[in-house]
Amino acid sequence: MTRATRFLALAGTLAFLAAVALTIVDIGLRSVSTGTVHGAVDLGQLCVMTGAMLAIPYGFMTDQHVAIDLFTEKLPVRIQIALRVFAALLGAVFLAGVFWFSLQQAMIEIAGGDRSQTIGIPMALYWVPFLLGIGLSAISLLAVALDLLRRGLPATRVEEVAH
Amino acid sequence: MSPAVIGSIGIVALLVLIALRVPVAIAMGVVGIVGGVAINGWFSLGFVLGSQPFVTVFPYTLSVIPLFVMMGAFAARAGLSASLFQSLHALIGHWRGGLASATIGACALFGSVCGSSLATAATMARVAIPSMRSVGYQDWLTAGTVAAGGTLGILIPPSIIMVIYAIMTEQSIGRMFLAGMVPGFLAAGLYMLVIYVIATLRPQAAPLSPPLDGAQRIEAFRQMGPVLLLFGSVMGSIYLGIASPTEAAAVGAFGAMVLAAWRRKLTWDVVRESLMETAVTTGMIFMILVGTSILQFFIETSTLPNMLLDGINWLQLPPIGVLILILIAYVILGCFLDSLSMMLITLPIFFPLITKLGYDPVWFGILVTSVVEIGLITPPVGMNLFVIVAVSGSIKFETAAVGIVPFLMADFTRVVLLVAFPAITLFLPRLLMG
Repeated sequence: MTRATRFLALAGTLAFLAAVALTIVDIGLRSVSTGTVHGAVDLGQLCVMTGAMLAIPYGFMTDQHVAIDLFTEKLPVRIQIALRVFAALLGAVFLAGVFWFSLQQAMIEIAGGDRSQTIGIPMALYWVPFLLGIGLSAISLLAVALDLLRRGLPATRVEEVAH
Repeated sequence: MSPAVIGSIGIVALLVLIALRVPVAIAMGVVGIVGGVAINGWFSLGFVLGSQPFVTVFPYTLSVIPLFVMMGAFAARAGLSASLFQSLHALIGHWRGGLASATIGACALFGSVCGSSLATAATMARVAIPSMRSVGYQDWLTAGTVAAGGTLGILIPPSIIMVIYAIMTEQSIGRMFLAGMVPGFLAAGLYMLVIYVIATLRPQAAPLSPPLDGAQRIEAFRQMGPVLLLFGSVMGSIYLGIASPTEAAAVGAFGAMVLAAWRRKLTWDVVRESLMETAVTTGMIFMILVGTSILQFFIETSTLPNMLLDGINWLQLPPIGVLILILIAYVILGCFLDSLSMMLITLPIFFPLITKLGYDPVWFGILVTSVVEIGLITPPVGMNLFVIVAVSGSIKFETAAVGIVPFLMADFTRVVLLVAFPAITLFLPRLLMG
């Protein structure tokens, strides 16, 4: 699961590079002529949303989302595991809720034929990375909870507690 | 139960969840939903969960975040920090406390192309700590200098924290950057003053370095060129009207990549690491923004900000008293929370209050940036201190915590100056943007 989410995040970074390239070309064209990249804003928005949303599941898999260790790090390992499992399950339920209600909203917008403002990109293209990121994050958190129950704290964390 | 009481319980529940190590974004989202349903009923669930998260991450203005993160990621790996440090070492290293001042100067200049304090502290620590130790600087001063210098990463524009504040409160990013310029360099100046005083009172803590000859200094000065060019192209493109802040961020990201390539540092590993750092940091920020949007809806419907305002009116506190209380709250929260979470959790409550009291939102933004930055160097959650300990390998956390104390005094002096003289913050944006 970690490798899969890492691959997805890495693939998403190409969207960031595309956003940079698009903007540089747009500025370059504006500087030397009256031309611009048609729909640069819409495309840039799509690129950034894709890159950001695809990175979220990897952040959860590798425990890189902001969490405060201060009050729990001195607790016994078993309690730490229990708290982490609780946090992961709470997160999974929350994100599953966001996924479910967002899916309903996406269906409404797609059925209504909503499109982006400048070049009319179907809104479905914006919803797909969003739903993919949120849905996979929920699954990632379930995987994290299972992993904690099966294997305990990550090795580095156990060493820190021991010291 | 009244909405205000539910709001208060919600804030307590949020802090409890964060203390139990629930990721901040999830804690904000969960409290926002439960509290929102308690106040507005089940029908609000569809709107809050179905629309709010997507609407939050959709705006084009958010594009500026990954692009500035990418600029910082490539700049950190392009070896710019080492060049800056060597340049300033050659120029002022032989002064009293010169090597430490060179570190602060290099942090300030590196901060102008990297909007992250942790990245500034980490990259500078690798370069400056071995040099300072080899000359005989005492560890507490070495650690304190690099940890404090690291905070200049978010104090000197472009700064990710300033960008997020501007987006959250609908202020101009360009105006925020201009407003942050003088306070950022004031911070660097005060840090250097602290170092000079320490080096004068306790010369054994900061031994003198031998001076370099003229040719070496000219060569060192030339090495600062690329950084100044990158900073100039980002800020210049904004204020000359060539590019919007988002476009300028793309210019910065592209420029940092070109610089890395020019310095032969752009290997596949560097590209992959930089892009992954960009992706993970952006994903983390977007997730916190999703949580914040849900919490914000709850806070607004709980009428908590109004209740707070009523309480202040009842206490008959003058506006400056309220501002001071808010700043103190930030300093205390900074001991336990990270900068971004702290700012995003508190803004929905404090920002309406501040604007109702008639304070300038941009000025308040710079004050918030200044005080949340203090949290990066105050134990027990002073992230920069952990970075110094990890990078140095042999400096103890306690030593770093002692070393930061004189710099904290400089920080508090700066905050007092910014509160007492708003013109320090506002004169540049008023001069250049009206």
